[in-house]
Amino acid sequence: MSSPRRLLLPFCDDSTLIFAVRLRNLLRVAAPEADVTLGCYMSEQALSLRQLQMQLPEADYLILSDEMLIESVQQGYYDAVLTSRVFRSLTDFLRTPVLKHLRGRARVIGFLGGLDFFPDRSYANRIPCDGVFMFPRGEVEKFSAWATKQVENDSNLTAPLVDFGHPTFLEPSPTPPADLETRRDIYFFAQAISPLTRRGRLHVLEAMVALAEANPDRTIWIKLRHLPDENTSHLHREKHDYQGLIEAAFKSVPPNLRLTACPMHEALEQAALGITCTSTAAIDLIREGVPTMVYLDYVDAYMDPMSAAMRRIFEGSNVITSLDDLLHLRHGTPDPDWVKQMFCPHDLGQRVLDMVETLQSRSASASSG
Amino acid sequence: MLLARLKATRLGKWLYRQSRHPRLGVPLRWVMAQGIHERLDLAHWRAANRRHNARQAATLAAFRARDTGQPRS
Repeated sequence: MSSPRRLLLPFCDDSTLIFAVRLRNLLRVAAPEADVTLGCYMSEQALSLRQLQMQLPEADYLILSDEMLIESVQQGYYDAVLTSRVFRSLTDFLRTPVLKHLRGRARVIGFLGGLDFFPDRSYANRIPCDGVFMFPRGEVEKFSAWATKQVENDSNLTAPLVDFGHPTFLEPSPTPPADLETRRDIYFFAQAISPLTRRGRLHVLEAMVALAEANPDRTIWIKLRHLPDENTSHLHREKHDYQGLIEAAFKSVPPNLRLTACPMHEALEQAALGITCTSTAAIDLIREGVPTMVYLDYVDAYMDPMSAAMRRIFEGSNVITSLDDLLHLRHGTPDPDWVKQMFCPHDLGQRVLDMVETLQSRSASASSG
Repeated sequence: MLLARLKATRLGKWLYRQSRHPRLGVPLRWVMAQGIHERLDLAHWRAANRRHNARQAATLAAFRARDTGQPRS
C-alpha cells in the first residue's frame, strides 16, 4: 500500500485561496489520510487580514518564499503541487530541462483560475505543468491537441496529462435549496474590472437602485468581492469601487440597497436570486441551485473584452439576461446540456489523486528504466 | 482600445508616472477617478455602440417611470 500523499496547495490572493480551500475539502473527502498543506506564496501575496481570517480561521498554512516553493518542488518535499495559478518561478523551473527531468521532484498540476476568458494565455501558462485540469469538457480535447502540437515543435516540452474539472465547477444538486421559496434577498455579485468603465458601473448601480425601489419588500445586496482598501496589489485591481461610486454619484439610495463583503457561502445561502456581469459567482449560483442572471448588455459593454468573452462562455446557458428581464425579475433555467459541459462530477478529489499517482509512477518507472 | 494603446506609449508611461506624484498627480488622479479618459475612446462614436448605450438607458428610464409616469432623477 502506498504512503499517504503529500500535497501542497499554494495561494496568494482571494481567488487562489478560495480555490485552495475548496480543493482541500475535496481531497480530504477523497483521502482523509492525505497530508494536504496550504502555502501562502509571499512574492504575490495580496490578501488582507480580514480575508485570511474569513477563509482560513484556523490559520493552518505555511509561508512560501520563492526559494521555499522551488526547494519544495525540487527536493520532492511534496508529491504534487496543485495550483490554479502557475507562478513565474514555477514556470521557470519547469521550463528548465535539467529541473523538469529531475528524479523525485514534486509534480505540478495546474488548474484554470476560474472562468477562462482568454484561453490562449491559459494554455501557454499551463503547458509546462505535468498535469492540467481544464473545463468546459470540450477544452480537454482542445488543450490536448494544442499541447501535442507544441511538443512536436519544442523538445523541452512534454505533453501534460489532461483531465476535466475545477473545485468551483462541481455538478449542481438536482434539487434547489429547500428554503429557496422563502428567500427574499437579491444579490448582485460585483467583479473588480468588469464593467470596465465608470459609466458602465454607474449604469449597473442605477439598475440596482431601480430594483430596490421596485421591490421595497426585498433587500438588494451588492456583494463586494473585497473592501475598497483590499486587493490593491491584486491581478485584477478595481479602479471604480461601488462604495465610492455611490458616495460620489448618488444623493441617496433606497434603504433596502445595501453593500456587503460577506463570505460567498453566506450570500449563496441567503440569495433568492443572484445577478452578475462577468463574475465566476454565476457558476457558484448555478451550482447551488440559486436562480441566476448574467447581465452583459451594460452601458459601454463594447469597451470591455470580458463581456464578449463571458457571452462566449455562457452561450447556450439560458442565463444571459436582458436588462428588461432583469428589472422584471424574469430569469431563465440553466440549460442541462450546457451545465453538463461546464460542471464536473463530484469525484474530482479522487481524480486529482489518481493523476498524482499516475505522474509519480511514470516518474518512478522512467528513473528505474 | 485607445487607452490600452496610450498606455503602451512613452507619453502614456510618463502620464502614469506623473499620476503617482503626491501633488502633481492630483489632477491626473481626479481625471482618472471621474472616468474622463475612458470617454475619449473612439469606440464611443460608432453608431452601433451609441445605439446600444441609448437602448440600455431607455430601458432603465422606462422601468423607473412605469409607476409614476415620470422619469426619476
